[in-house]
Amino acid sequence: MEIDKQQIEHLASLIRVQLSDDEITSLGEELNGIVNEFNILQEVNTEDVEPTGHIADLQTVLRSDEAQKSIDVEDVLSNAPQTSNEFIRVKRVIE
Amino acid sequence: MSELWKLTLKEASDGLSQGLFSAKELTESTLERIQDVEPKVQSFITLTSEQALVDASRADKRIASGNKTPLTGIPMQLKDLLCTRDVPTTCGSKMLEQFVPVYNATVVENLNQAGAISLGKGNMDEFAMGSSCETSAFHPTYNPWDLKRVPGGSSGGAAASVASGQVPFAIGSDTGGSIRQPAALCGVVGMKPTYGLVSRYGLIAFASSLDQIGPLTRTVYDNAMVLDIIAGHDPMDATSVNRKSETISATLTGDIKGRKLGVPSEYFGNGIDEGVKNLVKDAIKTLEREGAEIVEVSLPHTKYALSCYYIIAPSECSSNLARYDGVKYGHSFLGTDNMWQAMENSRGEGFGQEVKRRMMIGTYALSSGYYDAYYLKAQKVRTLIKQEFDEVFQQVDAIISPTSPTTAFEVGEKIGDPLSMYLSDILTIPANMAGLPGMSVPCGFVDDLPVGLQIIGPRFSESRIYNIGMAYERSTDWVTLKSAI
Repeated sequence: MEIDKQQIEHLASLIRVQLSDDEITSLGEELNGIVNEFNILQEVNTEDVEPTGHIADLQTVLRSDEAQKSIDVEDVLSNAPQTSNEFIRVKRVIE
Repeated sequence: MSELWKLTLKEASDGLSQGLFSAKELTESTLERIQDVEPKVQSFITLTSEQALVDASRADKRIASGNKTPLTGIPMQLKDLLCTRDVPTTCGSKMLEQFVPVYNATVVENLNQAGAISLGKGNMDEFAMGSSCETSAFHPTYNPWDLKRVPGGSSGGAAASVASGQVPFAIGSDTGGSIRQPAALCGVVGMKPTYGLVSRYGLIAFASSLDQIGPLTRTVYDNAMVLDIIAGHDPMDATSVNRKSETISATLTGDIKGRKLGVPSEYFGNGIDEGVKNLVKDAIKTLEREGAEIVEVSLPHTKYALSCYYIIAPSECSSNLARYDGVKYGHSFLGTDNMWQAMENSRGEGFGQEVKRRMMIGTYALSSGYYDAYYLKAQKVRTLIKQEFDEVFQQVDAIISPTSPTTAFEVGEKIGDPLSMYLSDILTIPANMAGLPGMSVPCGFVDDLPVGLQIIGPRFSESRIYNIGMAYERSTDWVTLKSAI
């Protein structure tokens, strides 16, 4: 199935990335080529096969509920683009 | 004491123990080597020469006090997706160009504790997405064997720095072949350990169910020496496996008498260069002469691994990279008061083409209406790939194959065609899908370009893999440092 321009724009909005017109055209072509390759998987019989999310063979990993030292506020803020006192400054969320 | 940079890790470590030279002299020699060749190879994003000399003096004091580890005073390069406190960590991306971590990755912490000396951060494909080091936002890295060619990727800086004698070892990461493929293309040894053996805490995530950190070195033994330091349980990584650790390097003998080695026909099919195939077949004969028994095996689901990977890895990356919102850290577009526009511009400017491409693929595969056909289907095929390996490992101790279908290709040759680039990892991806350890060892040259032999084993069989690699390495002379540069 062809991924059209409208779908590319929809995907770009889902990943919150501003794309140029050129990028929309080239990504459309590339994605169609790549997704076309994925169809080979349809020939595999996966009836009654469980999906694998990861292979670490782990049960739920728990630790004792003890307070531990975390990263200092000053350190947390050191990479923030905009700060205000002890806070990261963000754009207005509610109009 | 000139040309100390030529020493392998083991030789350098022994020399430091015997007092033949100091860590400062060793570091100075490698820094001189870097001055000579780095302008051509460009394997570093950030050099930390001054700090390295301070650390070298500290290592010398430690050696004098009799408190040396095998890595004390040994120079290294760290792939630029390992968080290093107070040293920029870019992940090869404009998005993190200004990012300075406030903590060390566990691997970095372990290496620092052991007294290894970081010379800086290695170049890589952006967010480890690429097989040539060309998607780095800063500059490509060039193959020391032929400067017109790529070093492979994504750990291209790591492989090129070791191959050109700039460091005795480097740390890389491997999601679909990113340690083994560049190791093969640059003629060095590269190990991707079992998933869970090495902590991923402080490794900037690409695809969390596949990512694994490992060493690149000139020899097999050197590689085991590094893995001994970085392996082990870490409470900070919930997928890190808690098991009794052994000192692998101490157990290595190079004896493979009676070992059953499987050769899967699927790894010698169409698309694999004839010269590469022939060298690997020669290597298999060598292993047979060393006492191994060669068994033909079949892994018929191999041909689905590439598609499976290019659904699962982009799906995980589209989720992992959602954190780069331009608010907490990373590139931030400040020219608007609109929150969504700021985010879209920050991400649009900060991410390169390949990263955008993969986030788009992943989001498509996860989106409503396509989830079952792509993501869920790929996870089920992943189960079959894993089961198939489990069955083959009932018959054989390890699997032998080429690492990369071709030797190093030219800079610019594949960057415009994502599908042909993705095929570079066709022989390395299956081990990641199944969480298995895999190593590439140099096994000769086609047209003066290095070729790698891949050894894949069951989970936690690193010691066995190293022994097979060591048996091969000892019966050939590919390993000595003779990089053309």
